[in-house]
Amino acid sequence: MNRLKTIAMLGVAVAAMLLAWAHQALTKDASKPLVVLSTSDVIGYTSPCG
Amino acid sequence: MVVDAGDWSGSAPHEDVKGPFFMDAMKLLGYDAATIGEREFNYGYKLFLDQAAKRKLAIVQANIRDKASGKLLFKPYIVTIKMGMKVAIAGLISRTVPLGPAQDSTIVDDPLVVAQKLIPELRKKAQVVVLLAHMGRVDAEDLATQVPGIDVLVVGHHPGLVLTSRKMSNTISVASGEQGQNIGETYLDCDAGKCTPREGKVTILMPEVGERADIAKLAKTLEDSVNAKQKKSLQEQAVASQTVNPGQPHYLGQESCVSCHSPQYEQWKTTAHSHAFDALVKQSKDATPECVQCHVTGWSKTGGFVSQASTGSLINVQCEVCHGMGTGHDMFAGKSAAPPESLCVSCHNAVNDPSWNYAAKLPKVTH
Repeated sequence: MNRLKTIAMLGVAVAAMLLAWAHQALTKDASKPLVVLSTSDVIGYTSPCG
Repeated sequence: MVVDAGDWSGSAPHEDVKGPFFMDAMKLLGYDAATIGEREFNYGYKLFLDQAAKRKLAIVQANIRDKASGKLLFKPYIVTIKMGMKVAIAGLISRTVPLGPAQDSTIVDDPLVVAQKLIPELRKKAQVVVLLAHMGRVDAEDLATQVPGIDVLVVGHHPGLVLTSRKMSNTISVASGEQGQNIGETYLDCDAGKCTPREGKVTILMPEVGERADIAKLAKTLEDSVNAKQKKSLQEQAVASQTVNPGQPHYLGQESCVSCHSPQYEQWKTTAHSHAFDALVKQSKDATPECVQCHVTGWSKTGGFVSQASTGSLINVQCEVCHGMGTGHDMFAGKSAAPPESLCVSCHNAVNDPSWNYAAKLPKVTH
């Protein structure tokens, strides 16, 4: 009975790990956003005068 | 991806090299597309078209047509692929923006009418739609509220600086200020072939951001060339601008003050004001107006500094900058001589000198 309990607990732990891994893999791309960098009216630009 | 919403060209005669420089720099920096503003035509309609044609920068513009041919000057949009997503980038300009030398050679179509047709087309071709709107913030955001389907609205033409980008329904509006001092960053979450605008912000490009050595070198070459051109131009103008009518208030130079105020003069010589012009000479900025005005006495005022060759006695931040023109001596003599903070911040402002503090700095110049 104890052995069965241990096997069941191990099974639950492995399943939880697998679930976490699968969730991370599935959401990996979605968590990386597309970034749009933008500027405008750069006229007047000058670097520091010194 | 990187985009620009226009107005990168100069306006003064000595700044004609700025436009081509920025097109080259944008290409080197990997800009995906840019739209144009009215300033791009400052040195002539045909000249700009020639300069743009020689470069491979992707210019998108959907509502300026050549009057003679009726054709658009540039591609109205491009579609590029980023992170596996198709991104359409289009450009529009307001009809109220005066096109200067290009005014008589072009027709500007109503941007709202163009957008109402164009944006639905782009939505069919791409998963993300970016509109570069050289229209000012009010007109650009008005358009975006009337035309659904724009994910990112990049505002040009005096956009103002909005540090946390505004989200309007499903559109993020980016207003990133001017002079290349900031960069807009808009984030879109993409999943299962669909992108949703999440948020946007503007990052101020402070020194800690760093710079690319190749671009910095290119910029220094440009600035040296602008400075040299302006120096020559100022020398030519000097004689005319130095004519002072009798009785008109004007600058006299520190030599007029020293004979009676020698202790104050000796103290002034210990301050940075006394060698402010040297700093510009070392940086080859001694004829660059944005810099010179704060490093000399009486820039652009009657009898004030014009150039080192013609008005060399007015270099540096002399007595009259803080106390007033020497010809007005009787009016300010005997009054408190401490310059008000409002005078100091015309130069020691957030852009030029962000850490400057009036209370801390005043004792250093008090005499």
